[in-house]
Amino acid sequence: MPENLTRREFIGELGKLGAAAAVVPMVAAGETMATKPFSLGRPGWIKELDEPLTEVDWQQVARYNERHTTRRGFGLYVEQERIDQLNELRNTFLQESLENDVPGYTLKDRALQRGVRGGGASRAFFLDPEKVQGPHTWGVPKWEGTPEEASQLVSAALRHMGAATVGFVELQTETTEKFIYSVDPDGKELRIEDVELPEETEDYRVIPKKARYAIVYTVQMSEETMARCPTVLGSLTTSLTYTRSQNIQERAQVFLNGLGYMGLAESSTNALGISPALGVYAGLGELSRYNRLLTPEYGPMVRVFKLLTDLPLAPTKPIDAGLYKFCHKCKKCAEACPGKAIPFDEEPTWETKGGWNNPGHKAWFEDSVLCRFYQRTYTGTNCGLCFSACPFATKNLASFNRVRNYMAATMPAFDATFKSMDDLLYTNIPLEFGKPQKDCEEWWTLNLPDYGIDTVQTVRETS
Amino acid sequence: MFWLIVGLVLGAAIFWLATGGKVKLTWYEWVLGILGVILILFAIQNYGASQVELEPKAGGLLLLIFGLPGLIFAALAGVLAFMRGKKEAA
Repeated sequence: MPENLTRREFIGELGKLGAAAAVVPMVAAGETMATKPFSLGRPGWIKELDEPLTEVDWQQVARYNERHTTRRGFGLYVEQERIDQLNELRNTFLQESLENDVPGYTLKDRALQRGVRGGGASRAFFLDPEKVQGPHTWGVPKWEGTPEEASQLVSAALRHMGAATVGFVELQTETTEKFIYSVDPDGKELRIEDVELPEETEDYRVIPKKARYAIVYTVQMSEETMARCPTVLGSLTTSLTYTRSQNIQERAQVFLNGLGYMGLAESSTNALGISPALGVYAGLGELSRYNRLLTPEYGPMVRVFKLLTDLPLAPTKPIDAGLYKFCHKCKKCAEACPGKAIPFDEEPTWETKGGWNNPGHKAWFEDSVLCRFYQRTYTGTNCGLCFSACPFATKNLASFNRVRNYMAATMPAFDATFKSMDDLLYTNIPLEFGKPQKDCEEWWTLNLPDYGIDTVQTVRETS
Repeated sequence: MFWLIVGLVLGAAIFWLATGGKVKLTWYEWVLGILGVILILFAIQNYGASQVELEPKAGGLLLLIFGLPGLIFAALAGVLAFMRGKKEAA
């Protein structure tokens, strides 16, 4: 530094020193802003893994036909006559509950159901929704950057649109590509071909092979609303999450188009690929006993969605937050399940329960037919008790629950203790058959936050 | 604001005990006292947060589970120090 500086020059020199001090450690660690790995910014006790804890035998895994789930293919597993009886039971149950003002099924609950499901502008497309403005209309080249920068960009954009957490999976032909359905819920075949552009016809959809990157994101559900399941009211946080996801999806497609890339998405609810599997591989959570995604931030209180793009993205890694291990000991979802659809075995198995499960991974496979029998006979809607009973379905403002999250990840010997504590603090197991944990009428007076969710939670977890 | 006031009160109390108090605490009285205060603060945080979470039952139980041992530890530290001070004075 030269001598005889003016005050202004001296401050200028100090500024340069400050900038150098900030950059030197990153250069020394071999990082620059452009190559810094994209991360969900989680606490250090959540370990990143090369492979998820759920074991997968890729030889056994095949692309799955979504119409074989009990959601669309109940008739594959149950005779039509029985389905008709169940539908009759469901309709009678709903009508009688409405007429008798049963909490959670009253006129106001049914009206809210119509509003959540039918109102608003929710629509879903496989292909990009419309010709949007982008590099081609603005006369500039498409966006270019490192995969890390692209991941950061997409994550920021989707979170702005309402996603909770965002992760990425690079599809590999012999492995993760098998998470893409062979047939979509509407019966259209999903073809993956070496072509330039996607295509949709009456019978099939074509995904270009170059759309190698799955954007996987969660949308948060309301713990307080889910605690009112299994009722119409309790089901409405699930419904709202699905409609919100369609808003996010279309916006994400337009955003990707705006950058100059394709965004191929779910043509309807639960289309395109297996959400929990992609969620696990994107590191958004771990596979739980109830065979759905369990996340470190929100526990089970999320739904999982995905898009495919040709924008090169840096994949996020699977995680070990102690959740999968916790499920070995806990079994609370199985205890709470009135349909007896969730297994109590301590260890997961390779043996599937039926055609509604996709074989090739070690899991606790649910009996989906029993689940739907219970729903149609006793709830008139979907259930969700396995979600609401989970010890991780807490709001995490109380530091006890944050201590539990830390202990689950680092000291699994205490898992059973924390499960017992959860029984004591939050729920009484066994739950009264088919009854919600909390008062449905009270829900209308709670003045809950936007969507009934805490959007600060990930910020708090990572701070 | 609540936690700011708690911090100021605790800081003043610790400063007084460490410098100006009539009785010098032994190491085990410090350990018991600090453990007690940590448990009491943990109980209060959980109680307050559980009310915000609309989980009053959990809040009450957490207050009891952590607050009661905290009070016992803190009281034990105080009683031990008081008894020792009385003995030394006599």
